[in-house]
Amino acid sequence: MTDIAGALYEIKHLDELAKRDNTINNIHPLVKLIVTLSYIGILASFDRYEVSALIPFIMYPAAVMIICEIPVGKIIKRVLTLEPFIIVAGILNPILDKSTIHIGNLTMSGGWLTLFSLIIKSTLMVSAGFLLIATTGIDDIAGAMSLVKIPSIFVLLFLLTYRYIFVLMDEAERLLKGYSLRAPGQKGVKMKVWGSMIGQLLIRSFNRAQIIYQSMVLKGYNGRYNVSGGKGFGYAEGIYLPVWVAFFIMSRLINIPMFISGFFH
Amino acid sequence: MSHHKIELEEVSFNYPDGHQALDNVTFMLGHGESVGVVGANGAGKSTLLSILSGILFPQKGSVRVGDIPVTKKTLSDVRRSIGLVFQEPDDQLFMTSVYDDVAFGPRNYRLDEKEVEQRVNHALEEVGINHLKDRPPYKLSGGEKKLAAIAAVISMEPDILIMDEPTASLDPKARRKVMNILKGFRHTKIITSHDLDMIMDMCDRTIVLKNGKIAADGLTVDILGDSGLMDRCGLEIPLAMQNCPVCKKSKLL
Repeated sequence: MTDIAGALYEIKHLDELAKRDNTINNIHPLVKLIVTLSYIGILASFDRYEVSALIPFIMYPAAVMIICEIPVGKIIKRVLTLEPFIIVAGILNPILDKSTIHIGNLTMSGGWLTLFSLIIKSTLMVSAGFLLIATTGIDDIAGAMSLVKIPSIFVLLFLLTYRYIFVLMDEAERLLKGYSLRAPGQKGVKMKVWGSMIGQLLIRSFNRAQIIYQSMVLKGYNGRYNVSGGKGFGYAEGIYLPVWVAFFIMSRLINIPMFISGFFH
Repeated sequence: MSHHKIELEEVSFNYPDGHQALDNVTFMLGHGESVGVVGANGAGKSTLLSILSGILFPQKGSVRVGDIPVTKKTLSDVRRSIGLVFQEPDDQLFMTSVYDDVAFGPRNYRLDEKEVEQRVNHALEEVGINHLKDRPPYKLSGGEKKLAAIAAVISMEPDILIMDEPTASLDPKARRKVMNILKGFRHTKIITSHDLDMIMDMCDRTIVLKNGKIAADGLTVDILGDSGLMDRCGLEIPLAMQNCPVCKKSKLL
């Protein structure tokens, strides 16, 4: 029960971080969206056996977290909850991929290497996504999506899905609170009531979503979500975008850890 | 032409399950009137508000806001002149900050950002919560949420303000604050509530609903003071009109 309330609060808190005043938060959302997408794109373009070349990419989330003073624990907690899904996706690699790879004097199974590579890549990508939310906020990301002419129906779906998650979790929390207060000493919800509870949850969250929709319609909402286009492009944007993109491309083209280790041999 | 009047003519509404929520309701509200709509639970108050704001359409009868009949085609004009404050502020506040929530309506009307800012600041000042503008709505107290919800409606500068239970679940001071703010709103007001003392304080005219029908419509003092009528409609006369609980002396003159 409290877990859901806590999770709800935490997600909202992430969005709230974007409201603070600091260098990266003040950068135009479109620039941050492009940087994040190019970061994810370049990471995805790496060979599946690549591990060492991925290491410099930690710089980006680390720098953003330090500059924006985002609590590292919050992001790690978020990422860790998704980690099991990533591991499940790659768990068969060590069994299926029996090839061996030689790194210097070390011999490693190719399967394990692809699993490591997958975990590192996905972790970095997911953190970049969370950091985009924590530095930009959902509304501004949606604004940036409209700026690059993503069809408004997709932008709307993105925004309303995000809003609906809260409605759904809010209702789930109320239901579970009501249940647990009348079922002392029970862990979880009895299987027998799962059906009616999920049904209730669906109907209740649907009703609530409808009331919220009505409230939006009464305030003149007509299918277009208008977010303030407030921020303009300035020097900060002119530096932030090329510096990061250049860094990503450089790290893609040159294996920096290998390059540095070359100095010592 | 007045934008501030509302006219209902023989309005009836049935829910899909067959429940008749409104039955032949007719009344007219003039410019600047402040009207209380009272009735027991399930009397049809919320349905009436939904019909006035074009969320529901009656199966029979007509609704006019200003001189415009409320139909699907005229909805955007009608909704521009009506501001509905929901009973549950959590349903009404859905943006990430109070400022964005109050700006949601004006932005939908494509006002430029300067005008939006002016309207938002004005609305926030009017309800006295300028200091909360950067706070996320879900972190506010019940009273503050209510004020933010009212500001979100005032920023659209409606001609008619409709409030569903404006004082429900507020502490006495917050309740008084909301009442004072509403008193300052000079346009037409429709307030539904079970807080009959508040209705007595705020509204000159009261409409009593019973099983979807109008049971009485007249001066608030006459209607709320009629204990027989109140009892028949599942209500009680306001505390301010009841006998003193200590000396049992009647407060009615």
